[in-house]
Amino acid sequence: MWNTFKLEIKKSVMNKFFLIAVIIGFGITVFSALYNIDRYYYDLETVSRIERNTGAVYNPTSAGLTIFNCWIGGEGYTLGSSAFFFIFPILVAIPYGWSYCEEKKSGYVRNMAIRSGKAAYYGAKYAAVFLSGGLAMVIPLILNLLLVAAFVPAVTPDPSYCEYYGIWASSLMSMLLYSKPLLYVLIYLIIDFIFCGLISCFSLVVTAFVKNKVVAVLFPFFIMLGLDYSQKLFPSSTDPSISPMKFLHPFPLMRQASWTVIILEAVVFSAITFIMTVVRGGKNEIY
Amino acid sequence: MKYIKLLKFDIQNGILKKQKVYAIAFIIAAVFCFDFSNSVKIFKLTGQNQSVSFADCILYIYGGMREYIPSPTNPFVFPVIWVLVFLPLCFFTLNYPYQDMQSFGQQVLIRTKGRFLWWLSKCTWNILSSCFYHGVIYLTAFIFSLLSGIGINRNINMEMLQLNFQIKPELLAAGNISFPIFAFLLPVLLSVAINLFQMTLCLFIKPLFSFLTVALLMLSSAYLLSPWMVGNYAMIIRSDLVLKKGVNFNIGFIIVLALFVLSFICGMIRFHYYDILNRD
Repeated sequence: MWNTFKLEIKKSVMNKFFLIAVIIGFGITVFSALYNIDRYYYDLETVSRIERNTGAVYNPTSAGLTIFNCWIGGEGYTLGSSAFFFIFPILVAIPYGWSYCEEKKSGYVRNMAIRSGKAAYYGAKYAAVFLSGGLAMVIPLILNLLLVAAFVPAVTPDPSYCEYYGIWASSLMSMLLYSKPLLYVLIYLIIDFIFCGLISCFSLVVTAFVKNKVVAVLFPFFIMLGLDYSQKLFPSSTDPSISPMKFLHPFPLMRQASWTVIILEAVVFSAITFIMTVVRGGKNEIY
Repeated sequence: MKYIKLLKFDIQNGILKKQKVYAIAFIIAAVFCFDFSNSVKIFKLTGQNQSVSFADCILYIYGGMREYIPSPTNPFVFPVIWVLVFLPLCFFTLNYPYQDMQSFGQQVLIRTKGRFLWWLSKCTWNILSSCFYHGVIYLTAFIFSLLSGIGINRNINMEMLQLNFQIKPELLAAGNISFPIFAFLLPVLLSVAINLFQMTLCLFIKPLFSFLTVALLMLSSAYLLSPWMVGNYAMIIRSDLVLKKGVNFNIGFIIVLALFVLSFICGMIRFHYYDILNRD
């Protein structure tokens, strides 16, 4: 069983599609990074120019622009950030969401079921898709963070500059951002990893009904769009965001994220994907 | 004669056997119409007595979003209704030509003794599919308007538009206007051109990445109000008839036509030299 897990996980992250997804993701996040680094230096330049021209010492607003609002997760207004958090449901399914479809078609599933048992195979497949999906999301985010960190200082944000960060008192983990910002970023990366892992597993769910790889990979994207639209069922601006396309962004887009929604959706997503893949797959006739 | 036979085959397999696609288009349109009726109720609650029309319903579905002004305090939120109208069609038309080329289409290609007719037939199928899809949406909105007593005319209610798209009155080009028919048709034409562009792109890159490119193009169009971002011509409220700074739909018609012709020609040339064997 352990060998099956190792094999599937190796296959999921050591394939060209994983690399392509990470490169596309990182390529998009670079747009955001370049813009924000440029903005940071422009601000520094403006302050120093005013000081040179007037001789006065101005507040350098050192806690106004920091890595925590210059990395892709800290802002929601650049094209890079908007594009990345729009297409991530596709990116996370690209690395390995198609694999079960392919293996079912080629007969590989039957061989694996004989050698390792159905439960081990489906369990390993679920874990591999989950892992590759989560990594395809967080690797570009981490690379973006590192790229921005090479130019913009990691000054702890000051709550008096909260309009620069868009994180208000009512925002999720606002206390943490203004006291331990790296922990805030880390927790968000973990949330993104878990959710994107689960979102990519929707590709496995749909494979039970369709034979087409492209459909399997694009299915999670449309599920997420549907969820985003269903936010209209909760029209009040005080209602929390129910769309993963919104609440997986560390910068709140219109609505605030809520732990209740995040945990509830994570549980529902896990239940649906796990039951439909591992439990149903284990009982499924593969011949 | 060969072309007619090919087209008949494509209509049968790519449209008639895919009723589910049009059922989904109907469901999408019905949900948006229901949503529109709720916004009409809210509009009436604000004390407005002006009548709404079929054109307002179409505008609600195909409107898109107002101009986005990037600012750290104004995060970008994509227009989900507009995205849910256009991207499902790109998804539905993504696979059929590619799949056909790898299966039965290979036999057809041998028997027709040329590739041009096959490509022409697929392009025609693409145009028909897009027109049917949008036709279902328009028809649903029309039936909804009839059933709910909404006037069947082309008059746009600007107050309703301001409420639905949160546009400041000073940004609007004019008061209540009767919208020309071509302004309603341009989003459909753009959809046809975009789908053809996607089909051509499938000859260069895998269908999945072709879809990804189109999705990014549509999102970028929502982000940037520019005559060069073609998606703007699929957003009725970005027309200069509605917004002072909007895009000109006459120029849009030319750009859409150019995209259509370029996609057709590029695809035709590429397909002429395309290796149809040994593809996954």
